[in-house]
Amino acid sequence: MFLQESTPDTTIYMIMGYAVFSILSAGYAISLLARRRKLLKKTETITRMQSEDTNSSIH
Amino acid sequence: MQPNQHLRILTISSMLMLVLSIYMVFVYAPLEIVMGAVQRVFYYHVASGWIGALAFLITLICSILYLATRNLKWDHVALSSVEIGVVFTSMNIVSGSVWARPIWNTWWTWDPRLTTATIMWLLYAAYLMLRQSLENPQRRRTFAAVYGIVAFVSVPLTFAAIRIWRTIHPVIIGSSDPSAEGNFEMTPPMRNAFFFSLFTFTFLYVTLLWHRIRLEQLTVQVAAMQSRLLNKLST
Repeated sequence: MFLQESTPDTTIYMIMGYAVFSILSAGYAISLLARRRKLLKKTETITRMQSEDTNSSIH
Repeated sequence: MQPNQHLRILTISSMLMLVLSIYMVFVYAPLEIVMGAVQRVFYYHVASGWIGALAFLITLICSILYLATRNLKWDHVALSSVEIGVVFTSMNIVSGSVWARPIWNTWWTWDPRLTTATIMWLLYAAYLMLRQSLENPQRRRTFAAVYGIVAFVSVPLTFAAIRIWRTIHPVIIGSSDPSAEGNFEMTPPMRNAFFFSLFTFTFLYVTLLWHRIRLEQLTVQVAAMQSRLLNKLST
């Protein structure tokens, strides 16, 4: 390090570093969205089943 | 669950701040002359480490509050915070390894800071596994709260590792060990970009935490609906 004359080209490592940040943060955001969608779908299904059950008990 | 206007504003603000911080890191902050472009990893590397520590501190506080009050909301915050903390600590460790390759000439070394950070990551990953493995909700919450308190010992230890042991990991704020590799003097624009990154990540943490807590509330709501339906169908 002390004997170097010019700034080393470490751009590839910088790109790799920021790729890590991007992939992990995007992955986490996608996982939050996917889990939310799955739960909302489940809520819809349960609500539908409840209403079907109520209708059948009336008839 | 209704969309929350405040959360929407917070999410958009976080995104805008993230864009601004990217500008500050890549355009506003100058190129570090000894390490070159890889030094720019520093801004998000430290910020993600800070969020890991902050998230685990919030877990500690919420775990204590849960044990004291048995209020479910504290358990939701503790779990949400651990999950975010593990994600940001992963970013911190992996980006540090990428930075180390050109500077230390190795991807990994069992340096005190790297070792304590890995132990911390493993402890909190185990927290998430512990929660998955316990069936009884009451037991799960109590065990997780106790574990969340005990595991926090690893956080100050990780922070202090580069200050109490001989290490090659640099200390940017404060004085480094003479054997540290990758030290640099921060110029005022570098310092501005650094503190802005810390602020942006903190903002991002609050936004993610809010989203994650809402997700946990929805999970509980769905579980309650499911058990009500099962009870109804069985009678």
